[in-house]
Amino acid sequence: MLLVENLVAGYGAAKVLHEVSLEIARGEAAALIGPNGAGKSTLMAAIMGVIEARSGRIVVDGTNVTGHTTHSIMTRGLSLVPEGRRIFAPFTVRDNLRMGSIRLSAGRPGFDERLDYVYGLFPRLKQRESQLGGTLSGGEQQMLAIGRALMSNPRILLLDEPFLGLAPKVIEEIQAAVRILQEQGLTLLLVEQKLDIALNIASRACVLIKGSIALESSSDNLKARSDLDDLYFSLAEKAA
Amino acid sequence: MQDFFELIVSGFASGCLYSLMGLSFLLVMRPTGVVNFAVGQYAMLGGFAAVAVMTTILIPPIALPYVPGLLVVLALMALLGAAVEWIAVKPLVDRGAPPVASMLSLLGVLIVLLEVGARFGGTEALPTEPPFGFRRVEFGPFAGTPQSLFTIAVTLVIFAAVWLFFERTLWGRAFEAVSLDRRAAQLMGVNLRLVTVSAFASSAVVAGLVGVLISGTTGAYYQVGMALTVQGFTALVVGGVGRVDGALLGGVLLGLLEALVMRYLPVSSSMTLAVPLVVLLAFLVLRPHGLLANRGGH
Amino acid sequence: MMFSLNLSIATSTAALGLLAAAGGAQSQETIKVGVLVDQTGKTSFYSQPVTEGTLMAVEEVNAAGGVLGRQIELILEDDNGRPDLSATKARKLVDDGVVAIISNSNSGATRQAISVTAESLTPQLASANSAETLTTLDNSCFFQLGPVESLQVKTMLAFTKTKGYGKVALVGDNSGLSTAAVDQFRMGLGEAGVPIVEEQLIPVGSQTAVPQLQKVRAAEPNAIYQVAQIGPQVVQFFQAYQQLGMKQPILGTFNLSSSSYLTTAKGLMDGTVFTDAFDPEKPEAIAFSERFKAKFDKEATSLEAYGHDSVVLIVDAIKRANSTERPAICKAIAETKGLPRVMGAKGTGFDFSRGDRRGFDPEGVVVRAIENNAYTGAVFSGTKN
Repeated sequence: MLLVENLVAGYGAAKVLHEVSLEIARGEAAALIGPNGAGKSTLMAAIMGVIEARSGRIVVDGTNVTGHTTHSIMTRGLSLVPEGRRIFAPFTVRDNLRMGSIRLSAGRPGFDERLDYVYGLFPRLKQRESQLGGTLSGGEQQMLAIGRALMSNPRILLLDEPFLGLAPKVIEEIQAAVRILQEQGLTLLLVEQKLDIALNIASRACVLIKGSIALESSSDNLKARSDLDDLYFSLAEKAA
Repeated sequence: MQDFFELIVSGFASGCLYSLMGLSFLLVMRPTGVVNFAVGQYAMLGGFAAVAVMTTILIPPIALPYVPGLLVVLALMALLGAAVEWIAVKPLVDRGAPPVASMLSLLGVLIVLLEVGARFGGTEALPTEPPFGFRRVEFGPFAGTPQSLFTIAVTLVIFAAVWLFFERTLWGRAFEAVSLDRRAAQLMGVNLRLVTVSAFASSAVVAGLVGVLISGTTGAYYQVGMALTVQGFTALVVGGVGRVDGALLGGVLLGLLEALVMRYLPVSSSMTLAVPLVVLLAFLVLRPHGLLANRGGH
Repeated sequence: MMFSLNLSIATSTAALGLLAAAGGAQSQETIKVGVLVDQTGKTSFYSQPVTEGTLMAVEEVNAAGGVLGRQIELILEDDNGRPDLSATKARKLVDDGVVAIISNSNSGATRQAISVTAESLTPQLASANSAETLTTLDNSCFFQLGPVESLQVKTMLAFTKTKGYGKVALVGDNSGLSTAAVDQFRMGLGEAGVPIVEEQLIPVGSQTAVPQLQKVRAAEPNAIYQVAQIGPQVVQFFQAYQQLGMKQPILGTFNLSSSSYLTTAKGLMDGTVFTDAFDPEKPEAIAFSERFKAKFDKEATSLEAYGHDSVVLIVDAIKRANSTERPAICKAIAETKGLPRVMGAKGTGFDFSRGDRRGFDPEGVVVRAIENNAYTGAVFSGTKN
């Protein structure tokens, strides 16, 4: 469903991604793991068309979207929950969700339907509907960020470290929501630092080291490895 | 007291022009972070375009009535604004240059537009027929001219429309979203190109409207831009950078202040144009966020 | 528009010259006269119409058989209104063999060209410049044909005296042109013993003159001298005057003779009087206006008349000198006396015989009025009463 082939990308003179290839099947939940600075967020940005691919290609459902603008990639069914949530603090919860619906082609009825869906998934957002985004708790803000990304009715949802800095109880809550999305057939790509959380959700994980995929493995296989740092270190050694 | 009430009307009307110039700055500044000092030249060109389209002075075969003429001028201004973005801003943004690079290239645009205006319109003040006259009208203690009331009415309508757009429509909220967090807005699927181009186009339209209004009062004039640039920018700073209602408030206050200072303080009348500069400096030092605080984001 | 019109005149003039040459009626070569004009600079707005008048006058002279049996050929040089260019352009004209140079550019540009004409003893005629000190430069072949600034002050003060205003206000703008006029009027009024109760400047770039005129109104003058020179500020003066319901007589300058004010300040100026160097009821002016209108199908202004008169002067001088040698022409111009011209009050003409190279008759400035949004004839003239 989502295919990344030999993707090279970076910022300015710095090349961050070196020929990354990745494939995610319809309905699959995959995790992208790797140490800080490996290029995980850059890969997300490149897939979404926020930064340009210098070479390689990105294919969604058989259509080459390399070089497309973000909004046209979104109309292909991709949506990203960005790292750090990036909600619009001075906007109400509802206005944040409206922003997420801007690429929704179904118009007003479609919006109402998506809004009900998101409120169903995160009932707390409905309670806070007219509160300003900036006044929400961290967990609620993350729910809002996910809800907002879901407003465009995506078929593939990219989540960039959605659990970062959240209390365990909130992580549970959000994990439960993600699982519901998964059960409903949404294709997921989760960027995560914590292996246990990643493997809880994803059936397969790709390990990104220094801008290259160093390892691809099923979750069950990876669960056997106890020490993630060790894994990263040995993979990095191998890459060097 | 008679003087005071007359000053309120004329100061308010001048202030409305400053407010519109402030709005012109704001429309580009909010979504792009670029301060476009060429907006004053848009006003100058809008004035000459009005003369060209509505009178037989510059282009004799064309002399449209006020309303169709106004619409043609505003359409031309939109094209000009979009063209300026395409020529002077887009190439820089595409190469990842910071907003300050665009500001510098827009200063170049300022020079070019000034030269184009002087060549096209000449160095004399050229008039359009104002839709209303300048005979004294009195209402209660106030006195003004029909033309000044027209300017005030047009300004209030524009501000109401822009406010409604930003606060009430999805695309208006999208503009706001872009100004708050460009990347996040992009990830919502907001078309950044469309936002940027419409920002530049609408900014030119608003400044062009100021030019049209002035062409009916004091004439289109090739040097009208610089003073309007200072006044508009001051309006923006006084009202609170980044707010539509701030630009209106700032411009009107500046207009009133200018009029009252000139009338009642013992300063040389040739110093009128120093008033906005002094106000600008005072605000930058004492209250850099203006009277209305910015609603966060940056 | 002016530019294209100018070109078409230039082309037709050239064509006429060619025809004349081809016809063989005049086998002798043409008499070359140079013109310095600002075609593309900031003062082109007045330099162009002045030059239109020059072109028209030469065409008329040539159609009537030329001078000394020879056709006049005008050579136009665009100095862009820039003093740093005009000397070079004047040099080029001198090298082209012109017998005289007509300076239709601004005073600054004219001043720089004077050094070139002094050195080559080329007669130089400034058609419309009003700067005071051009003729103080050491060049016996330089002649200033328009009235200098101080003359309009003298004339307006003479007119004022007939009205007996006890106290007046003075309003200008802060441009160099206007502050100079303010200074001159202040000095003149001081000498005449007329108290100035309020003096105000409308800054260039302001949107209203209401505060300034309120101060004027509060000072209760009997009359207001309006000497602003920059178009928008002049218009603001009249708008504020109307808005404040003021009734005092307004006395203006040459500047108000620019007919564009009849549109920009339409209906706001009625009752205003102003000094002008053009009397539309002078027979020469009537004839000129008719010829101009027949040719261009638009009304002549004083600017075209200025340009026209330079040709009148030079043709007369060549005739009297019976020569196209520069020094001879120069001498003939200096001896000109009582030569009728379009500009100036009725009965006044060119007169350099007083030894003053400012040839505008000291009694030649008139005062005109604006009624029903149109200019009237002269209501007053000269400096005596």
